[in-house]
Amino acid sequence: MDGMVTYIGLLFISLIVGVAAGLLKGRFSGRLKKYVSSAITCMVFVLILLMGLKTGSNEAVINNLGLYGLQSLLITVCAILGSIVFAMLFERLFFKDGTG
Amino acid sequence: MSIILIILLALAIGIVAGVMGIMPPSVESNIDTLIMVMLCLLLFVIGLDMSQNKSVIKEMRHIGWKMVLLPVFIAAGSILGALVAGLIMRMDLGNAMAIGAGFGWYSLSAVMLTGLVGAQIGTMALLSNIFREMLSVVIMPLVVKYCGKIAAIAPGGATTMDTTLPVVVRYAGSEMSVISFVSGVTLSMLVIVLVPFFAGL
Repeated sequence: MDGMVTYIGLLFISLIVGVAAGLLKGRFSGRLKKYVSSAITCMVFVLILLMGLKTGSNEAVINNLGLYGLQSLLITVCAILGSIVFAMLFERLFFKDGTG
Repeated sequence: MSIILIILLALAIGIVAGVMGIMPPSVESNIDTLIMVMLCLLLFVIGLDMSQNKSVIKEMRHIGWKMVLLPVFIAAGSILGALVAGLIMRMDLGNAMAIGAGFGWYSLSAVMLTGLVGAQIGTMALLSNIFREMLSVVIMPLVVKYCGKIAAIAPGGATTMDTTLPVVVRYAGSEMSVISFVSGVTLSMLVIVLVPFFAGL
């Protein structure tokens, strides 16, 4: 659990330092904004590539890719249904009692 | 949608290279550290990007405090749904909930879980959260018709701030755009906290 706290902490600090640096710099020029957005795309590419490397070198995962795909889909369907039900519950609680 | 193609291409190249074993040993032994460093860099740049978006706080004030609770409900519903799926499949419930807590942000949740838990759960998080973005686009007209405009914000999860925002607006109307955006931003923040939290359970 200690590892998790460090992990979340490092990620949040990185995010906050990014926001702070951006605020200090002030308004970005159009060119800088483009750099930022292509930097994000490049990093996501490298990260997913590294993830793929880790996955590809793990035989147990590769041999069960089909099964994992089906299980992933079930999690997605249940998560979407759960979120819709809760959004409707939210609407009923806060917006159908005449105060919304 | 083109970013999804880039992601799938990166994943395919990575997996093929991994299966063929052409990864340099120095990369192989340090892959978790590499992933962690890249993630911090990515979040730094995302922070830079966020600092240029001044409208978030203004828009939050505009719609009132109640609407800020909507993403909290969406988060709870997604995680409970994933819990049910985990119970059905008898998989580790913490991992199932961590995958559900990706809220459609596949790049971040997948990489986090690959680093934290392992390649299997990371791959499942990637697939599950890519499915979430795709499915929410497909089912949007039905959700608006049968469940209402507020429910239309739910399926997209964290993606309603960018990729699925136009879809929400198209079917639920432009009056939902701000709520959709704020919900997506809030859920994205929650991904950073909740994915490691549930993975650690």
